[in-house]
Amino acid sequence: MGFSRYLLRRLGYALIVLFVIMSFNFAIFRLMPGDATKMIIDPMFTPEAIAELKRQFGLDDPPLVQYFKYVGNLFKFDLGLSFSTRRPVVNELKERLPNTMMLFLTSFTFTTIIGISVGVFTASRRGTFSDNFVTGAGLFTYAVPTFWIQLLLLMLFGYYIPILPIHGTMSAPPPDGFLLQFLDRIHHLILPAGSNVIVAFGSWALYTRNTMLEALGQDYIVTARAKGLPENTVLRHHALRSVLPPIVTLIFGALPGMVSGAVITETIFSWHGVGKYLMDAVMQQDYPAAQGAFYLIALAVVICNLAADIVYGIVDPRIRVGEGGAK
Amino acid sequence: MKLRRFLLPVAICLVLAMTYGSVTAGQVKCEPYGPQVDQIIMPIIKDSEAQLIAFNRGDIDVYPGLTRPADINVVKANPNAELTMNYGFHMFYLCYNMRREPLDADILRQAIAHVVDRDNIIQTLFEGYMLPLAAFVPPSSGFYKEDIPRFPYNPEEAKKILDKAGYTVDPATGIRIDPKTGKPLRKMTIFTPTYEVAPTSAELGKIIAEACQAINLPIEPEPMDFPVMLDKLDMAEFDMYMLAWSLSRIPTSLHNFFHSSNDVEAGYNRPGIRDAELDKILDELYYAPNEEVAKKAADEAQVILARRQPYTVLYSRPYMDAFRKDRFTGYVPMHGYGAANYTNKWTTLNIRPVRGKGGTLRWLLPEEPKVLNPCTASSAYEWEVLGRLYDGLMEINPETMEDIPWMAKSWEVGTWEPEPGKKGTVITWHLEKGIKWQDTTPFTSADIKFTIEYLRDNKVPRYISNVEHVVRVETPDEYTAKVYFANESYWHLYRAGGNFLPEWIWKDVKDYKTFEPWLEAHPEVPGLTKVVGHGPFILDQYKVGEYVRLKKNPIYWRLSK
Amino acid sequence: MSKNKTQTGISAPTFWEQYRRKPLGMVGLSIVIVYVFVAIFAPFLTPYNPKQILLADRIAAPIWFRSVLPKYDDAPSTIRTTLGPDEWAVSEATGGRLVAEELEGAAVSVIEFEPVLKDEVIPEGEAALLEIEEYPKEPEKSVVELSYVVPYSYSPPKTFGLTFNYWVDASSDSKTELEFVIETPEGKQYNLWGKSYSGTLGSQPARIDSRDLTLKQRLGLTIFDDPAPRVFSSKGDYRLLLTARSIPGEEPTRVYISNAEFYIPGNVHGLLGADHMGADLWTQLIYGTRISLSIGLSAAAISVAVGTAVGIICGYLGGVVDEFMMRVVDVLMAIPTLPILIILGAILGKSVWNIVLLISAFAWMGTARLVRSQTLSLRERVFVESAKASGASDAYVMLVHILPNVLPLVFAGMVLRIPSAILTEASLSFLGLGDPRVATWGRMLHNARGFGAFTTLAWWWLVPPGLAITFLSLAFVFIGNTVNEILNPRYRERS
Repeated sequence: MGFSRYLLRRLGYALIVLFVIMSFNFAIFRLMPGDATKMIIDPMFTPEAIAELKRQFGLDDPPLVQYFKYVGNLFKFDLGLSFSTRRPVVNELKERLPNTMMLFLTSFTFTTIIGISVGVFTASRRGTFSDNFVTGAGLFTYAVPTFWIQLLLLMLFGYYIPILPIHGTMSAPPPDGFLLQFLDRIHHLILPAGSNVIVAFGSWALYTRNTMLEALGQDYIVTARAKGLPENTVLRHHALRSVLPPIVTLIFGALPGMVSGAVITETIFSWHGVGKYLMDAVMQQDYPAAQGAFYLIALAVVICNLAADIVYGIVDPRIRVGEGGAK
Repeated sequence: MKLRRFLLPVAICLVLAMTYGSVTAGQVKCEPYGPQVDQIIMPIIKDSEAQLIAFNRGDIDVYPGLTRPADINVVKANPNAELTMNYGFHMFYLCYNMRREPLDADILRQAIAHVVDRDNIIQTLFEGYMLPLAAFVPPSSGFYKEDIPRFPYNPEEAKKILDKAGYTVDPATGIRIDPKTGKPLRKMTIFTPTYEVAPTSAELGKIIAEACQAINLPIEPEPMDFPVMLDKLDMAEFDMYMLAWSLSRIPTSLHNFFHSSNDVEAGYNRPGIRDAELDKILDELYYAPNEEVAKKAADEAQVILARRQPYTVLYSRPYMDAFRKDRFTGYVPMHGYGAANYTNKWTTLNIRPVRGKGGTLRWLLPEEPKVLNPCTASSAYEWEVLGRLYDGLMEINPETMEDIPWMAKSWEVGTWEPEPGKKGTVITWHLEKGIKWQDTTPFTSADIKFTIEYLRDNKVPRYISNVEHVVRVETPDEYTAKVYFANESYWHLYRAGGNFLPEWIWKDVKDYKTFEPWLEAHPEVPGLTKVVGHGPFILDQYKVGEYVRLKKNPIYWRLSK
Repeated sequence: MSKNKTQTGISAPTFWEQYRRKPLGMVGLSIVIVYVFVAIFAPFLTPYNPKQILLADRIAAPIWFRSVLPKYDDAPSTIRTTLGPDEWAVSEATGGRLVAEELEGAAVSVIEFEPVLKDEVIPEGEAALLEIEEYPKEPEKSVVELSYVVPYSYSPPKTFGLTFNYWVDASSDSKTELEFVIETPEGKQYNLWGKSYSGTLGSQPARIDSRDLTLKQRLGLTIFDDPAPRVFSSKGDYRLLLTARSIPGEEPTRVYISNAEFYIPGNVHGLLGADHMGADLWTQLIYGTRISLSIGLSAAAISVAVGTAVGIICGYLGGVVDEFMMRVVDVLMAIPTLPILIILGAILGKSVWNIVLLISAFAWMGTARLVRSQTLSLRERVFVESAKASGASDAYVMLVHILPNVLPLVFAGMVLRIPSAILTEASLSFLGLGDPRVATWGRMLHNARGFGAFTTLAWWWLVPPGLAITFLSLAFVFIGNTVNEILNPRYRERS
């Protein structure tokens, strides 16, 4: 089975997933108890005003028509009007996406860099302390609620020792000048991104270390050592090279989890992003907004998964073959 | 009225109608001129903990609309904070379904009114920061009537009147017997919002139900999701429910809530009261030709309503606003709107630094304003921003709540004949000269005509009820506008609008719903967006999720000298 | 059965023999046993129940702070005294006396005033009251003053209050006045409450509370002032004075006063303090154990059961069923879990049971895949082949031959699934989507964040629930890893 065939197959799955999410998304918000339009109608509206509003939101069509309109609009990136603001949801998401991306990329970059470095470092310097440290950090990731750590850090550095901002992505208003604005942004990023890194790097470190150790036990490493090559060279040129593929795979595999974790991080730090938008929309029963945000998050996850599949297919050709069978 | 003394704790601002005899009170004079600050930064902080800490650290100077007792306790511990409190138009009520037995009996509703322990509710749920209210019009309205039938908290009295009316306790079940059927009363429920959405309302439902059970009425609370609840209310499938209204100073809401013509599916007459005498009075109120008739009808309506108790009103949430008095002064507490609401023009104009002139005022926005399009903006937070960009034809005297001339130097309410034998109202506005839009275009009667016609022709939902009866607008000259209504009502005076739309921007707008004027730059004047007003401040920048920046309007027509 | 035993099979005694030699496993097990113990015996570990509110002032600190932190040296703990006829002392009695009576099983203090002399002629109407003052018995001096001493040795409190019911039996020509005063150690008197009535009066509640607007007005304060710190400003003996005055009529005047409750909510309370409603945090924490354990265990059990069933059926039957189910698994795995749970949680309503089902619905896919691949290899084994050859039905083979062989794998997987179910439930509750009727750790954190832990720096509200979640999760991780080590040595690295 060729790579392109494999690629097509994965792409096909991704589209099916998207379609399912889309339909599911449509269904759940319409099967809810109560009349969704009640949320948009001001108590003082006249019947004419109510009818006009229903027309604007396309709520006067039969469900099947609504569904086809909905699917058709999705392809045009038209996610409808938000109940609470009566603005196009897509415009509101556009305003929030950069913030989410900024937080996500920062957290992600630092988590992987720190996690992998710690993993490599502790693998090369084995000892009780380094073993315990990495195992501890890994367990920390697994067992400690992320939002709790974030709350503790927020209380410590936002309230007890108020050196870091407690909400938002920038000062209101930000200082003048590019450099100062940049620093202002960083200042606001430290808590949300930093807390993400602190919680998440442990599992990366543990995974990298275990993979490294496994590789170090392999025959060719033993041979390299036996040849008397310096330990550093052995690590850098032989061990690291062999563990890179699984780690790259891991990077892409971990993306979806981090995307959906954004909801909590953004809520805690009042970070004006897509995750918080979803949370607010759900709380206000603003269905078009919640649908839109969820669709965007799901889309991001599907893309990440697809990317992971592709990378996986590149680094490990066996998978492509396995894919052909009844996986 | 015993609460009067708490209403105006700081600078009492006396603005005498017509003459503006500026009276000195507190630290500064309150004047009908301004604004006194150069810019207002409105940081958007939604998290209440973050709001508090920002206020205490001095990151915000104005903290409007405090509601939670815990927050008030934190703020008042700050020696640099000044708290103001004013009656608003909020009203929390218990509504009965009068279409259903046994709640159709007046005596039963009156008995329930007797077990509502307002003082206890306010102390335990709100730590005392609510005002008990038993009337159907809040005291901040000029139409409030003090002298109405009342049913003070007294469970013994409730038992007594029930016993007397034949609702005796059935010894077997411990439930009172309905004298009409001879059987124990059926189980009834009180709908409330859920604990997550409105914890205090849900708790209140429980408290009232328990108080009813104590006088042997089988009543249970039932918290439910808001859309479900509204559905049931629209279909009149309820016994009792609890919700709040946010009213205005005009008592026409009584007609909406209690006239039998509104007892239809999804109508606002939720209790389903049908009282011919009341209907007649409410019609007089709704179509009153002048204020005297309106006042008389409002008084009579309140007496009937208090006696019949379609609602039992529980309390009113006052406006409580906090200011950093170490940095700013000149804020004006105002009846009905508090010291920091956008309707309070006086604070917007007069607030100023304690030391120095101009400066930047930091004013908290507790929610995202989201839409700065005056046609679609619906939330109070949007108007907190927009309201400062516009002036009204009339404004409200902060002490007497009377209308005073503003952009219109005078007005007349008259009648005309839309068709032979029919009477309609015609309002004539005489405008001040020299008022300019923020982009220097003169403000004239043509703007009034354009706005009213635009809102009417586009059926803008927010304004439909205001403009649907407008037949035409005439502009005999640049400073006179005559607005003709198809029917007669004194209240049309309040329906001419105040947030006017500049024609040269709006005439090209195809779809007002998707127009986002705050995101588009003004075609001619640099630094302006397409949100152009005529009020004291200019919209400078709205950074979504972060802040709104307003700048002083350098060509404001009431700029202080 | 023993015939079918594979190398993963292991007997219970042998398993335990191996397990007890693993220190981490034993630590995990002990922790879980402690939690289970706490969950079962929760009612015996706290005097309160989690629904009780107003036990202390809002966000009260733990009581042991008094001996640790100087700031809390003399912080008041909750004072709550019931004042009945035995507690009240009569400090003044002219023309009347205090009588103890029992009504419907409750003690009632009755202040009884003697009637005016029978042979006096009492004029009718309002004038009567004026004339009565001229009577030889000096009725205006018919006073009974009840007093009670509250020793107060703390820093000023934030609130205080007194509640009781009272009613009056008297002839219609009488007049009765009631008054409540607090006298400070310095002798300053604060008049906090007063009422006056003519004739008989039905039961009335008296609710004297320092937060009451009328009370503030009586003291000349504004709504934003706190009377409590002014009244209880120093340490010493405070006297509560409840005074009844009467202008009696023909009949004796009897003022009934039910058991009164005087309270000062404490600024320090219990082991872990109190939340924003004055509910006990320790109680919430230990009752939270019940919910977390049951949600964690049941969600893990359900998801693993579903996953195992799907995995075995797909792996064993193969074909269209397999293909379809695996696509379903793919799709479900691609849906971001937390966002979908948030949306569904908000829509489906917030009950513990719904949350368990939701968590399970999005957690069974991993098990299904694992079990399926295990089944695929088991299917080819000799003992399965021979069972099939001897005519056993598919259901029989799956239940008797395959299920027992995947169980060790499934069991370890289930234990490892528990912490993530616990964490998911905590996250949902923290976001306000948990069951509002039960105390859970996530809900405690939700309240802490939403109701003032940050501005009051109440770290004692924030730390315990998080630690509880962490230790419980860790315990299950330890157990799961140990079980895996013993039962599935080949999978050790994977977990």
